Amino acid sequence: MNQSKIQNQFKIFVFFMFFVVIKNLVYASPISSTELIKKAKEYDGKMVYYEGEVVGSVMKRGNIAWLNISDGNFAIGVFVQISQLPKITYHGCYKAIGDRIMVKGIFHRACPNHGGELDIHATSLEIIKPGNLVKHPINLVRVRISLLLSLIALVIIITHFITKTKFDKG
Amino acid sequence: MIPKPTLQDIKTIGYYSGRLIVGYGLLMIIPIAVSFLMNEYNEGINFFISFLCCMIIGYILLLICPVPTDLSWIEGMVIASVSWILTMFLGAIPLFMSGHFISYTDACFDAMSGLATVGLSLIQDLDHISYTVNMWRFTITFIGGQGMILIALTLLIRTSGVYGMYVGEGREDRILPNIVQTARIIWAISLSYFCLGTLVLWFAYVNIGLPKLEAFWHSMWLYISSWATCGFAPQSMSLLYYHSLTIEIITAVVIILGVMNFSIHYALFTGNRKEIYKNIEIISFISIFLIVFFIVINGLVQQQVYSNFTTFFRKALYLVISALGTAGHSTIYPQQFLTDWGPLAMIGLIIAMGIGGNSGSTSGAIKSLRIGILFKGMLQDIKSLSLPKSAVVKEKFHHIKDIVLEDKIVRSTMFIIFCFLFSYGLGTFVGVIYDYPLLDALFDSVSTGSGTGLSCGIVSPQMPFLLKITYIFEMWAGRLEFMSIFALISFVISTTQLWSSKKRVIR
Repeated sequence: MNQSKIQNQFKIFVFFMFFVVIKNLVYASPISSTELIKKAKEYDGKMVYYEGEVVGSVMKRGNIAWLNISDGNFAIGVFVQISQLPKITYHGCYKAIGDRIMVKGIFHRACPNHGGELDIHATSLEIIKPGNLVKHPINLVRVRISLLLSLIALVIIITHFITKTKFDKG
Repeated sequence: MIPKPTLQDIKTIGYYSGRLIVGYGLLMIIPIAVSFLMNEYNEGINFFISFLCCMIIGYILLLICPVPTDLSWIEGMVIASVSWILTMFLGAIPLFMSGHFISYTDACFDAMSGLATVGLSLIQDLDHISYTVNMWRFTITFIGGQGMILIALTLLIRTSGVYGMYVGEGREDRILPNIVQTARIIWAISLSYFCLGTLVLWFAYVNIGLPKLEAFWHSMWLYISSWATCGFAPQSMSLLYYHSLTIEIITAVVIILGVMNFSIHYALFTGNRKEIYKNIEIISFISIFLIVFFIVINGLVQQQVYSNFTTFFRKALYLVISALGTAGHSTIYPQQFLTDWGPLAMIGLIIAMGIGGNSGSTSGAIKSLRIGILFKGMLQDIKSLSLPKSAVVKEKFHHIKDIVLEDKIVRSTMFIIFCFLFSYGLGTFVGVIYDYPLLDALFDSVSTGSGTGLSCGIVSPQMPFLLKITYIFEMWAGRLEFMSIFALISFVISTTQLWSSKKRVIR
């Protein structure tokens, strides 16, 4: 009885460890842009995971596309085949936070095919968090300040022109 | 002896500064219009507040100082230096209100960087900035490249003695005998190139996959920053954002056009093509380019980062053009100067940035003309040594016209070169005080003082306050080429002395 209980616990443990290993293989920790740039020589030619927000437009050129992914430090260019490009709803700009994407691909310190640029040739792209629109509500305090300043400016400008007219006549 | 200023002198400076500030405020109508176009009303309100601040300050000055007289040389220079400082403070207001700067000092840094066409930036989260704020960044870049005084001479100011103001902004060339006509010629050349360059870039951007509206904004902005040889870009990645050889080629051509003396543009437009190979400035520029390119190539060969000749050549060529033209557009990340380019290539770029482009252009730094004159001066001295004492050695150089090399020309050239070297040294010294490595501190200081805008990583919002102030001073002094700074200092000293002596008399 005790032996079968131990065997069952061992099987559960093995299954659990198998699951943890698989999970880490599939979702490895992404490397930051700062580290990729600083240790570019170390990561050159290697498979990396990189995560960040899509900033700016996705530039489609025939059967390939370029997108720029920023993790808040730097943005890195990602080169991808159109067939692998997921449907990106939001691009990071003034009015939106871009979709957050996990990139898996080969990192190049100085890509020989792309003019020596530091880039990632993606083998897969996955949207891990959709973006959203950002509202910029009108700041009423600043509206009031602008009205007050308008009044002050009007008084000063009118005074200037009255003074100037008197001076020109005099 | 420093001439004693009178109250009328101060009022004249106040009057013209007031007019310049009013004109500067009117420029804010451009980003206000963009805010309505792009539904960025909050930003529009920020610019409206800043516009009102300019009107209030400008008209107060006009109220206090109502009666201008004709400008003296020194008054013109003081107006140039004072107006640049005032417009920095005023131009920083909407930037700070945008919420993309951690302090007002950082906003002032960017405002001066745009005006002085440097392009270094302390902005946070550039990729999420509004079209309105970006439009302002590039408007002040364009104004700075053309010259605020130049705009004022074209539109606002009609008085004798304006040449002092013109020179006070770092210009000397008179394309035509009349300064106002010269200003108009410069505008005509700039606007012609602006229309053509923006159109070419727009087609290129649409071709590489940018949406048409976004391509319009990027083409206009990147044309402006390339022409004005400023390193501002609409996205945080600079030229890397586009991943395009076409864009690099077009911007490189625009940078070269921006680097050329306006007098040479005028000469070419009027059919005088010989100017290209006779002009000492062009010869000097090409010679410096070849020397620097050779140094950079050797540096990159040492580092062995780029695997084939094409990538190697493309990276080196673009960055040397960007550095020598003091443009500041980059096709690598700042840290890559240290990790991938190495010290020899960095030294090559430092030399390029330090010398810079042509005089009478939008470019900054010492200028290739001064290097050419220095070289001619040395040649003259060497010849004098090898000839009998009674022999008279006269060197000539060609810059639009044949000019005899006189001692006073060499002396004034040496003086400006010394001022630039002092500026570069000052920024380096302050950088080293804060424990930045010497080469890094030198690179960023020269980039700042020369108006280039490349950085190896020192320039950031986290850099020390004193270093920010030092860099602001370098940008201001470098853009105005120091003479108007000295005029301002002597004016302030003599005003202070006058007030002190009046106080003693009253006691």
